[in-house]
Amino acid sequence: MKNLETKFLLDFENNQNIVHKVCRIYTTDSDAHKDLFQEITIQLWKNYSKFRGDSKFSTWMYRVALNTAISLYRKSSKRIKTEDYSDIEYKIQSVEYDDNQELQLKALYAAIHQLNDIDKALIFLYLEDKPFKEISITLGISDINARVKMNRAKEKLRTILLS
Amino acid sequence: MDLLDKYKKTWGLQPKNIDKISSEEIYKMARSKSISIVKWIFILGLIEFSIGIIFMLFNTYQNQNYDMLATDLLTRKYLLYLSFLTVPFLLYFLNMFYNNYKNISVTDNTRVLMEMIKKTRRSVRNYILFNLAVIVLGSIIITFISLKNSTRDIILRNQIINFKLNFDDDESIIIIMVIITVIILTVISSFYQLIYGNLLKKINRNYKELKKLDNDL
Repeated sequence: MKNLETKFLLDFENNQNIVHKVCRIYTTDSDAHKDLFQEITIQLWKNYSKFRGDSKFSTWMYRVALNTAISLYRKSSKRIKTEDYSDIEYKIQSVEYDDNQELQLKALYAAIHQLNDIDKALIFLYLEDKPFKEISITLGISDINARVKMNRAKEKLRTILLS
Repeated sequence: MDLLDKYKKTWGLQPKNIDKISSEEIYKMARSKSISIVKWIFILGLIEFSIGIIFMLFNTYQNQNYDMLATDLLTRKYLLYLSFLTVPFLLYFLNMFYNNYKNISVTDNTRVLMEMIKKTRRSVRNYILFNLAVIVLGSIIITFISLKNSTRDIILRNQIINFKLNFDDDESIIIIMVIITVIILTVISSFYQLIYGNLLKKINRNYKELKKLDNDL
């Protein structure tokens, strides 16, 4: 049991930015981000013993994180909307990451927020450079459907970004 | 370079260490209480179930007053039979709730997961419909006994004393009972609609989106 925990924490540690990205796509304020992050963590741990390593941990993590965001998570209704992400300055200290790129990233997130939950998942997996096979398996749709739908989602995103 | 390709490149350059959460905190989080929709549906199912059982036990063991009217006793007897008849159904529903809850897995693909949640929801809805049907049956029993009995109007008069209505004829009794039943049904069903409708709004919306992927090719 102790071993499983250690292994889980290590796996999580190496991939936690996946969960952060999912949270940032599906929520618009920092409290909701934390809530969703926590719920995804709970679901990952709850099912970790069933994870057999047939696929990569990260692949499995994408699935659990997206499923939780799309199906299980419900924003607490009591919460008053706090600061919006667009107002938070993202502190980025990276050489190859200039101001212009930071603005681009903000614009990208803002555009993604306007998509529906399923399109968000499609666009997210596209941005993460996942193959169509993995996308179709994750969402439970056929390969062809994934391709057609992806093109539409990308078209929607392009329109939003250009407007 | 396509516009989206450019953004994709930017996306890939996102620094990884923003918001990094420590292992200790992850450890704590992993053990905290889930607030997932499925869990709520299961809990609500259990609460409804317990309320039904408590209500039944209350009805069974409540002290019977000596000055109770014959009509009242007769009504109580039949309602009690009705309650006992519902027990196997209740057990069936409880078993179904539990199995559904167990079978929902976040590691399935998104479509299967949502179908399972909707199945759970359907079993809860059937349970609610069953409860409403029992209420209607109960009302019919009360009405029937009241009509058959000489002291028929007393039980009803006691219950609706505030209305200050004078009803001795059969039609009035039936009308009053229908009105009461409709009011109860409306209140209960709008209550359910409020709770579950709210809880499942997101699932329904996303499920429709996912379903659309198949249909509009």
